[in-house]
Amino acid sequence: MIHLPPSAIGGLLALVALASAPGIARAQADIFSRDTVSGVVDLRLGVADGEPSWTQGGFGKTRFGSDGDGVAGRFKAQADLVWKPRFTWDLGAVVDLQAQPDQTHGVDLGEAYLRYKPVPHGDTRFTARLGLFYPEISLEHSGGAWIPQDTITPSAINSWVGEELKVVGLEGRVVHAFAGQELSATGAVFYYGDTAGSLLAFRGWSFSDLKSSANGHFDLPPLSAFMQPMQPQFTTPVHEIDGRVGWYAQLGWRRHGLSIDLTRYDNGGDRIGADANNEWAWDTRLWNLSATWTIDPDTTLRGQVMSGQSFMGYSTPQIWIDDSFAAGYLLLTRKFGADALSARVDGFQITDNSWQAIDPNRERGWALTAAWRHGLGEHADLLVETLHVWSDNDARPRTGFGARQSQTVVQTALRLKF
Amino acid sequence: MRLLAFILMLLSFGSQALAADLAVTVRDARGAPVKDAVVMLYPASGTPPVRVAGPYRMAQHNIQFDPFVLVVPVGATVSFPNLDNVRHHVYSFSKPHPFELKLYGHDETRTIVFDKPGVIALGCNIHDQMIGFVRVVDTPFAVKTDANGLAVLRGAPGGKASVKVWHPYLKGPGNEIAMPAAVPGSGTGALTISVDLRPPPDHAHGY
Ligand SMILES: [Cu+2]
Repeated sequence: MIHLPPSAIGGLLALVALASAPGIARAQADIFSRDTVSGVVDLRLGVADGEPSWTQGGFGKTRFGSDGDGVAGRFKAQADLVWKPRFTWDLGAVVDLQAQPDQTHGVDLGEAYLRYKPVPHGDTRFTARLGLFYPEISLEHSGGAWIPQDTITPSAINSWVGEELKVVGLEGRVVHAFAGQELSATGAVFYYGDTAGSLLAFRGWSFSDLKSSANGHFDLPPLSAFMQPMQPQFTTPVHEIDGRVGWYAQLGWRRHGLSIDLTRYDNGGDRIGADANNEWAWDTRLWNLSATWTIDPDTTLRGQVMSGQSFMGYSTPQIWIDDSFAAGYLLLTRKFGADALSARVDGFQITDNSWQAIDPNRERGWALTAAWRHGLGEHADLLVETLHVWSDNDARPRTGFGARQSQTVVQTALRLKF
Repeated sequence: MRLLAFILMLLSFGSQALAADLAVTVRDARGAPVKDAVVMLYPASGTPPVRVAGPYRMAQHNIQFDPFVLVVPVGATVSFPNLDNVRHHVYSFSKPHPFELKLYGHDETRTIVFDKPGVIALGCNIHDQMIGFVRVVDTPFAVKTDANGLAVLRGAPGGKASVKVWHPYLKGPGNEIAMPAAVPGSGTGALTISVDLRPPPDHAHGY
């Protein structure tokens, strides 16, 4: 059983790097050259109306919020430093050191994994990863810094992937090319995914580019009186509680202009397992279907639908948390030279199947996003985004707001890349 | 009688004596010019042997293959200079000639001899976005289209011929279409070919 704290992974990778430097033929390794280091600095200005953000103790769905009436503006700066050492031509690593405000650990590891990628010698190729990483569910995020490409704020689905689906695991993938098409099969086993589902149940869906940090935790909105004795006022997103292994599997098919991926994820949690802080091992499973259609070289339509269930706690007689969640989005992006315009529509819901009267978790809502990305040469992008979210959440009245709220956030981000 | 004499004269010159140019324009379904399409001509009277001249070069520059498509005759030696400061791990598993080159950067060059006709799809194991093609041809009359979609085949023997057009994203078996054509006895003939292209492939998101 692996019980390696995520904080140790970075150190482990550094050790591998140092050990391999003299051991492996010097010519093969590329540990600290300029080519192995890149980064993104994101300077952000956001203006929002509506209730306080979930990052400030409210049920607000975005990273920016106000006090309920009026408009508030805020500046945030965040950065990612990405290190991609190569130990041999086939074996390397990806380490993302992230700095994000609104986090308990402002500077922390984002991802850190070894990757094995031998050169293909035929129509079938193989890759593997070992360490701390995100399952490849999001169609919006890319690069070593795992940042949304065409918008500032990811969809509800991929906001949640960023918050709660990071794992410490071993993943293998086989890709077979034939007749202008590709079939891929991916399988992974993992630990540290035990609390997945906590934010969905206690807060609901969100629209946020916050990425879970390896050692940090997220504060939760006010819990119900029923839940307070059983759950701390926070959740640790990268956390192993029950020592049970989780798994996910993905099947993909792509050809010119079209790609489809189907993912099944099951964190294998023991829902009655808890740690000393009363954080529980959730039992969360989901299906995710992703599709990308390249309509023409400048126009892309992406979409995902996700559906799953979460269970936590004992049956007394109903399980403390028993919910079903579903969300979907469509994202249309059109490029115009150095510019790209994107429009996205999101829908999301959570069905509460237990203790509705004293611990309501039901939610439904939708969101519209419009974003403009303007390339400023090789090393900078300017993004402007408007995001409007409407939601109806039965837990929200606990903070003095009505269950139904709408909110508009206008953001601009200057992304400096090096 | 004078007409008959003229025809006899034409025939007596034969197809070898008369040579001409054929200007082929390749357009997509919307009428826009298609660049990097390889136009190959096979005379009905027989395809002469290819001429290997060179130098033939497929560089890596700014984390891309340059050119995107390289046309070479069978038997050509192609150099793969790395003009970037970063390393590239160039490979192809295409049937005619699978290979792997580890290029450390700083003007390091390796060469490969391509001795079979066909399409060599190139990739880089480090940079997934790097895509390139070497089209190894078995006719001396093969040229790729420029930005205007134009390829001029020079010195082809007059008479009937078969023209093939290949482009990495062309819809059709082998990403290729073939059609009959006629090369004039002298001067420059013109031919416009319309093709259907797919969008560039969507690659499995890698890491
Ligand atoms: Cu490369």
